[in-house]
Amino acid sequence: MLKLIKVTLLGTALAWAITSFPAMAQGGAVISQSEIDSARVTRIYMGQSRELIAVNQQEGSAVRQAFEANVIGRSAEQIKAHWSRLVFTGRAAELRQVESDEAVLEYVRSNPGTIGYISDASKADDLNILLEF
Amino acid sequence: MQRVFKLGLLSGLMLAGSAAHANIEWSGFANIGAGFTSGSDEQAFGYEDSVDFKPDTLFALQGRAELADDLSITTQLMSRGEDNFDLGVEWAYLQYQVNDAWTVNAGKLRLPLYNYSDSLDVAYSYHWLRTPQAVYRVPFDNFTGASVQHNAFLGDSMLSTQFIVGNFNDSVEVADSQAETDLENLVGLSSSLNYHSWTVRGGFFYSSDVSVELQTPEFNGLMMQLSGAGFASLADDLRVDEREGTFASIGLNFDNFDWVFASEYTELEVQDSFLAKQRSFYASLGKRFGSWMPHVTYAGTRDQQADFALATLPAPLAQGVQQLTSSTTQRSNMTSLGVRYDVRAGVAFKFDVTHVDDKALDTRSNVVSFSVQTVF
Repeated sequence: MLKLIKVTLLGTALAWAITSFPAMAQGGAVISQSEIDSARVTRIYMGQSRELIAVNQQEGSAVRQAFEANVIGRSAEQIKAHWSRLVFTGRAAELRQVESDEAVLEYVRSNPGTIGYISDASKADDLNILLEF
Repeated sequence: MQRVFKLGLLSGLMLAGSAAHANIEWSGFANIGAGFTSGSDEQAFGYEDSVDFKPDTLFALQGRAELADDLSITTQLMSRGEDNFDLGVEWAYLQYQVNDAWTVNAGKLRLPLYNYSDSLDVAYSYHWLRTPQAVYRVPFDNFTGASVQHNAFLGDSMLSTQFIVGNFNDSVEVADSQAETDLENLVGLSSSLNYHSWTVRGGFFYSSDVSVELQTPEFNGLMMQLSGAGFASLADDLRVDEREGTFASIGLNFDNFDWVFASEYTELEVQDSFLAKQRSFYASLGKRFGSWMPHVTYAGTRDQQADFALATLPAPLAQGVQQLTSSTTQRSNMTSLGVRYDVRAGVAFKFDVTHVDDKALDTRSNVVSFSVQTVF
């Protein structure tokens, strides 16, 4: 029993060691050259549909956290767990990841059949806004 | 067989290397687990009463090379503690995405017997520290052949179906010893229907020729004694030699990101042999509290011992046959209490206590384990 307690304490201490919670963004938009039903955005970002090629923002960025919380409706950990199931079983390949709103805009503008999201809806200009979050 | 996979891997990577625009994407996962049983005479899930790291520890590296938009090669290299960290090719396959709905894979693939078969080793992707061992006990995970995957959206629901065809040949653990095992003409279908938080899944697998060459002195001795005493036909009936085998599973899952429920029931039968008809089940319930997720699982085995007419047999031989058939018959209940803590995206810490009540051997044991599981 003493061994059990020691091991439990050790493990719990380890688990607590690393944590971080960045803040949320406002005014984001899901953008594309195409027009699709907003319900399909989630399917695309959950790797269930390939009707548009999705581009993602950096893990841990405020815009990605806001998108995942408000559009997908799941936490970063849940989405990571879901995607690990797809990537390591050959059901889907990891989404392209870029570093900024500008990089998303450039990618979506120059590639028809793609979809992305940005933190500031006013930058969308000529692109379709499929959803605001 | 091992050599064929190595060759396949090598030629696959060479092919990937020679393709003009092929970039190899690397990703990986690792489980670092430790555990022990609570008593000196207890053994379960590969653990004994001193702390051991091997049973639930593994490292895997996956390389994926895109040869064209719709064609890719994936190999997964794995080092498992339970195999003394020998590096092996877990998967190696060529994938062709026919269109948005159809995908074809060929090579060394995971056999999708269970709901969590595909992601079995990626423990980060599920809530348990390890999948319920009462159910997840077929002693091999992979096969060589092809699979065809189809996804269909029907309104709010998604129907995903997988057909497989191939064979299996390797040495696996049967009745506590290694046995050369062969499954020929292996075909199967697994299908799952997802509707909002609910997923219902079913699978059926069939092999026309299952052979298990048990080579223990006890087994060989019993076979010789039976033949010598004029019961050669009984000896033949006991052997697993080109027998029909079937595996069926059903499962129901619920996940609304608050509560999680998972359940499966499976049946494995190899016709006319000393192997028991295996029946297993589990039901698991968990609830998320932020980064914490406590859960409880009840699982069990209800095997049916192979039945042979032993009335005309001399007593020692009847006893030998009885021992052989009961050695593959499991009757147990397992209760697990566990918790998952998401340290951050990609890293989870898990703790699990499982009580095993083995009714066949009349033993009870407790297994305590913890693990850090990551994807990267």
